[in-house]
Amino acid sequence: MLFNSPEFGIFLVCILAAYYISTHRVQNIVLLAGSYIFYGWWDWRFLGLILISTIVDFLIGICIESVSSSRAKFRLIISSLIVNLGILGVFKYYNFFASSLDSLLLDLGFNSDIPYLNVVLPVGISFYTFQTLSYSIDVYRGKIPATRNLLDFALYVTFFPQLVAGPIERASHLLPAIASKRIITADQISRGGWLIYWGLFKKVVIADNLALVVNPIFDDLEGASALQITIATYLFAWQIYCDFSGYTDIARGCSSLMGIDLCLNFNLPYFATNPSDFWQRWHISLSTWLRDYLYIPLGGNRLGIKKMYRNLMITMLLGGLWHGASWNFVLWGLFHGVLLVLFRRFDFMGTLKFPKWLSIVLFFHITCVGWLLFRVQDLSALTTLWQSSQFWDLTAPGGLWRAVFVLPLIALQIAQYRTSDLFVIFRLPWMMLSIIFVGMYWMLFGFGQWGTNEFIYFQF
Amino acid sequence: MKFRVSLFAVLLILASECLFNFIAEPLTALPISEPMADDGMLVAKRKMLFDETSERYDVVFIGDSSCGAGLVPNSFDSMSVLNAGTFASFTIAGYTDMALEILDSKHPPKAIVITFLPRSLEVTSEDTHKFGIYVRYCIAYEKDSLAGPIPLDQYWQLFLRRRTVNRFPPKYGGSYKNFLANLESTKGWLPEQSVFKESQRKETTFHSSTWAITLMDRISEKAKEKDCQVFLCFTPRPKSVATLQYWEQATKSTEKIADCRDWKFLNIGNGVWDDDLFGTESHLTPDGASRFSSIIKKQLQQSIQTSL
Repeated sequence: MLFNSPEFGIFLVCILAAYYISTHRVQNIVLLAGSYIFYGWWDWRFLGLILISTIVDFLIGICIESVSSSRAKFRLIISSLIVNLGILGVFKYYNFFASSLDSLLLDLGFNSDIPYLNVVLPVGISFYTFQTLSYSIDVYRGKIPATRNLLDFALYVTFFPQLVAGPIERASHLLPAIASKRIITADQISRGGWLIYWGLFKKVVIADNLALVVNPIFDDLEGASALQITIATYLFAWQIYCDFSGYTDIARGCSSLMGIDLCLNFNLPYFATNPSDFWQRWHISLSTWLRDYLYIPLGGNRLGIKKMYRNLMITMLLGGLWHGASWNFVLWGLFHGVLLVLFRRFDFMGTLKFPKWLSIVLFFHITCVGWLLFRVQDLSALTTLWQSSQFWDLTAPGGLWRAVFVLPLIALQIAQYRTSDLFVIFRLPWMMLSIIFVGMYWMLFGFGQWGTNEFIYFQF
Repeated sequence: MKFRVSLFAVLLILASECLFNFIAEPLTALPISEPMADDGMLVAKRKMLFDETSERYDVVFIGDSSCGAGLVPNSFDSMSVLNAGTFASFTIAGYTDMALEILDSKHPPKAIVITFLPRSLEVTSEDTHKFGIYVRYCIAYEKDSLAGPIPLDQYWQLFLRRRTVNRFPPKYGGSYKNFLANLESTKGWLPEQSVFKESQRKETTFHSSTWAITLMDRISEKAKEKDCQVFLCFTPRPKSVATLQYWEQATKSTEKIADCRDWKFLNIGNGVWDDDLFGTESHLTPDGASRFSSIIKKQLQQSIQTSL
């Protein structure tokens, strides 16, 4: 069930109607049942995995709290890691590593007979695995108490707005919101409504229109000119941002309508002035997860400069691999790891004393190089690109005019950045705001791509 | 303030929706924006058939795009003819609906000729809903679907299509206005400009669907009631696509079915023609169309001489 489908609209209305007339405990039952329906809509068989994850981490949380020896606690947390990462490994990474090993052995002249698994990648598996893991690790670290309420915990794992593409919530934030009675304010309703509307606009009007320009170019890299690929890369930067942040906005908006505030996942990422700043603005819930559960446990920056660089590289490499079982994601992670290391080592932007706007522009271009690695499926096609005879061919299949849809986003983001207020739109005179809402409505249906375009991050 | 904005915006959206629905044609957004080509074709053919100011015709051809490209009304000099052929995806349910509406109109023609590729008789009710255009047509013009209950998602599809800003394909004149003017000048004939290259697809066996046959029966019942003759006819097939055996199988089995009922089947003889008479796998070139039209003209003149 996609956020941009009519089924989801009907589903949300039904859930909200049942939610608003129910008491707190019944609200949680409604949300849990709704979340299972939402997830099972893709494939009911996926429910088995999420149930295993839920039950295992629920029990492990209680056990960790009830045993006193640190060795026993350690064994328990290791078993949680094995189960969760095992499921992720089998469903997401096994075939990738098997095929990589297969080709390596063939290159070395050996005959390999590695078996492949015939499995479908369950939607959002990386998101909910990280979410359940964070709970167990936080209980192990004594940061939060283990919950004794299976229903609350199951809802924490499966809460439908953020189930398939985040934000990856921490138990310390979401579990109390689930466990306690919620009071829905008028502000939450208006912000929630706006976030859903704007998120849908970003996905259907901006991202899916840009996809019509970007996809044909990346699907035929060898036939594309360098300039076409450059344009497609810049447009992809906006496409992926609008696709992913559009999803997050809708997720946060739906949740807000239920009186639950999800964490901020994007904070004007293309206004970042350096790589560190970028990761504090882009997919914030993942970058903080990687920081807290990977980078810091590896030693962070406490063990000297060299180990800090190593830790940064490992964290970003695994962060890249989290996005997908493919070498281009590994390269993308490495690229950002190298950027972070170089930034820590030389602090280019600071040393050169660039004005802030120039740092923003420069770093946006650097980010786009990363997006090129992220988007290409066939790395070898890039190497022959620069000898292409059609280097300057500007015409893009799908109609370059669609890039115009990015303009309202850029205008809004400049205003958001200058005022440091993500809801700056509400400061406009009411008449003008109403007209903008009506304009967005007709753009949604006039130019929106309402096919069955999945959100890019669903595949992760 | 946010409540006031929301309320005002919702009211504005509702008002603009009302205005849109009041002005826009039910299937398309005409005249507010350009329709998609398939919907545009249907609206244009309906306008030529049912508009108060439209001409009265002796003979109306109904069918798929092979009919639209294959019959030249201006060559039927002794009769007033309209080619109302649309698209194969409109399916036999669509042609039936259109025929029933023509027969129920104030001035029904003297004869209706249903002209399509043999495979139109193979279509089932499930296929009809899959194609979508017929269902949209039923929703837009408030008709009951002959293929069963209309799937709910089709209401959503029509809602989206009518609001999508669209550009009419340049090959159809670049705008609906030009397209309609061209169709009116040719009385519904849409000449095929492409050049056909040998097809990989082969038609070897023909199996008519019972559902399609029942629809034909509905037309013949209504035609009898309105004292209008109904003919059925297949458009020719290119040699590289269909075998003579296929053609004979299709015509013989349809003739048999027609004989048991009140249909009249126009047999054009060997309908497997040279590839160079085709612009696409289904559409005749203008030369092919004039050859096909002259055959049909002769047959029609013989069949309806007395009644005309």
